[in-house]
Amino acid sequence: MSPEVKKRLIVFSISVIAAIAFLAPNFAKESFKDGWISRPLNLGLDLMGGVHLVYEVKTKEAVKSRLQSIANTIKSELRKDKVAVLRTRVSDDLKVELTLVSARQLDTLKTKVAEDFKDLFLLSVADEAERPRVTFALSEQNVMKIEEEAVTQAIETLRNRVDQFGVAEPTIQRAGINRIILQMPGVQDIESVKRVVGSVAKLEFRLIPAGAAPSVTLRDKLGAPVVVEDEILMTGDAVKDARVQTLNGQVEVSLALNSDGATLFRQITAANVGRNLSIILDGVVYSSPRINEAIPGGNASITGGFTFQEARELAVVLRAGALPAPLVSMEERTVGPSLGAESIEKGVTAIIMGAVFLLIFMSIYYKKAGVVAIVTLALNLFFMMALLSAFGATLTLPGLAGLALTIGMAVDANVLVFERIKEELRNGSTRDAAVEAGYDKAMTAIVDANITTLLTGVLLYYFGTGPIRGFAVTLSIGILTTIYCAAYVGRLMFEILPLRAKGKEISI
Amino acid sequence: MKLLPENTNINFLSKAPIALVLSVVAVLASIYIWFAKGEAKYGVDYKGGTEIVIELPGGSSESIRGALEKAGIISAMVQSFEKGSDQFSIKVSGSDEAAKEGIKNAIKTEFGDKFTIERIDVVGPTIGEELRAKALIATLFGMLGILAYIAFRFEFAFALGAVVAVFHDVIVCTGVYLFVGHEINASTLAAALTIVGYSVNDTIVIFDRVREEILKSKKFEIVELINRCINATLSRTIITNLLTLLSAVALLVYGGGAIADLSLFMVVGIIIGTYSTMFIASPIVIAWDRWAQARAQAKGAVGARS
Repeated sequence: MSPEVKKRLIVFSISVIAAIAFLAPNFAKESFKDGWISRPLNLGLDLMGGVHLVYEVKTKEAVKSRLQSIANTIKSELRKDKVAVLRTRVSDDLKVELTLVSARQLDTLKTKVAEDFKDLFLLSVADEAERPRVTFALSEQNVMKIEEEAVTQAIETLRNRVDQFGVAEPTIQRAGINRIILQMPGVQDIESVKRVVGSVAKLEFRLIPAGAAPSVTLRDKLGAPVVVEDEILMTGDAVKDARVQTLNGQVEVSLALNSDGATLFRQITAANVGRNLSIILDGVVYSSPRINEAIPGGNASITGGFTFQEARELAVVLRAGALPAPLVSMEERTVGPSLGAESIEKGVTAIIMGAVFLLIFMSIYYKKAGVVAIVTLALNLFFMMALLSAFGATLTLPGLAGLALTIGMAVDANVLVFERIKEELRNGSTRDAAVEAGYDKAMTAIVDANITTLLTGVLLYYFGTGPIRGFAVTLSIGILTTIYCAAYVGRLMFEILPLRAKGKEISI
Repeated sequence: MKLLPENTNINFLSKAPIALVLSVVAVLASIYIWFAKGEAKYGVDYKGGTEIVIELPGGSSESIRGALEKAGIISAMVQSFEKGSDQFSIKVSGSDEAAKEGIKNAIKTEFGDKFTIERIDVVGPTIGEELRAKALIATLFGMLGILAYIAFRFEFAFALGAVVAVFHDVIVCTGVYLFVGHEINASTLAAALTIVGYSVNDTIVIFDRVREEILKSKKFEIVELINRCINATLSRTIITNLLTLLSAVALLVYGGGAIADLSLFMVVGIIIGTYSTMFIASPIVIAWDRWAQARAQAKGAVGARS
């Protein structure tokens, strides 16, 4: 054995060992968990069933609600300075308008904003003499910052909520500027997912007005109007934990407040004994219990005649926290478990049938060399799976198309080499010379064809989305293993195996 | 074993004019189908809308259509998913909750618990258009990449030939695909890209041989040389095509559903890929070569006179 062949054999052995290491988690999931060099191959939703959702974060709403809260803060700060703000309004084009009671207080407002609310800048003042309406806006930069925060926070909240589902391997990805892709394999009930994931879950505590306090009219679950005070006393930020409880046959969600929340809640209840406190979720009044006494323990509960399922979903969203802005579903896909299983089963049958054809043809037509081809093809699949595991790739239906193309090109690589060897033998070359010339001459075609395809694969990955990427990944990885198996491993086998036939130097 | 007699010498390129007429007709027909089908050729992936695939043992498209009409859904498209299967696809253009729930309720009212939902796709119109644009961009960049690499490794004429051949293949395959009544969606795109792969592979194998022969010979006649190369690689062409065709047919027969869809594209693509190498890519190289020589001669003549 020449040193060159020895070196090739060593390289080959190392690659096999590495591939086995990469593939290991696929066979013994439990033994190779976190920290191992690779993860088991995931099946895409189209193959194993599950839900796929694309949400758009309504970032403008996040900016609007931030402006509203800034306006509320200005109002309450000014109240301390004995300046009355009659009305605050946030418009759809992201401007905040404050109406003052008297023109004399205009300067106080301007100074206050200039000093303490530096993000705002003054746009215009109308009706200066009577009741001035002052309009402020945020700079482009600040708007973008709030929008960016809204998306990151939405992703964080989604992650929390999805975790509560207890599903294995959910993926949450950001796409573009304001989109979020959520995939949950194995889940079928997309409606429940959408309720839990997509509800804003803005929790508010407001009093039912007892005097002439500014108020708004909301609706309860049945659609009946409920008048509540304008001022929000406490929000969902105060909630530490939420659990479902059944009390006297009624399902309720009991809330445990965090320490700040508990203090605030005690103060609110102490100051308003005898009045009714409304609990509002996403603008709907759930209940308005009467405050009998100050509540010190940091516990509250929401009742509202809901089913156990509803209560459980509500508890989940309250635990996970509110979304900074509403989400709009742009795309939703549900794949039933049987359809995916069917695709796999049929695909496997088809691949086995194809492989059988290949086996028969190659071993008849190319004899012992055909067996070499079959072994290199099997090795090709083996290395491909190993690399896909190494990259943590997901196998999808378009991915299988990429696999099919790769196998086709790998078969072609073998055929190219063998036909060339035959041609060289016909021209009178010896076995070794024919093998060498066959490989050398076929190699430019194999490499050029595969690199062109690889290039396409990389570009498709870079510019493509979803299914195109799945195709591009298996294709690109397959091309690399094809070149390695056809050029390196196949040749090595010709060099170390006799592959003789009766009366001939080579069986091809 | 030998597939072909030694020194096979078929004059493939002499058939190029006939092939040219055939190809032009096929390409024009495909383009016609493409535009004639309008928006209807796109599946929900690229158009937006709602598609629900249900399994209803013993059901028929008519009975489902009837159930939907009873519920006031008249614009739905109902198709048997595959011939003779119990799977049916129901499509409407709306992509909101009402569209989806409307179909589900209508089916439920009529068939009770006899059906199971296999798949639901709801794609908003903006996403559909975005996906379409992105698919187009990805494909175009892929083609540009091929052009650049072949131009770098071979010569520009070869790159041009290969890319025109690829475009030809994709256009004709898409035409055939639309003609038999399929629609364009994400998995169609994967299939189309597979064809690009096969087509380029086949073209490069022949061109590689041409490159090799050109380097070997001092004087050559381009048509004769390319013909010789096509013949020299003919046994490989036949074997590879046969093998890939066999696997594609296995996919077509045993795959079913989305896989069968894919393999139809592949079967057509493999045949067309080989055809276009001989009759599209090669004649373009020859034509370019002749044009370049004519230009060189004209320049030479001018140079001699002055």
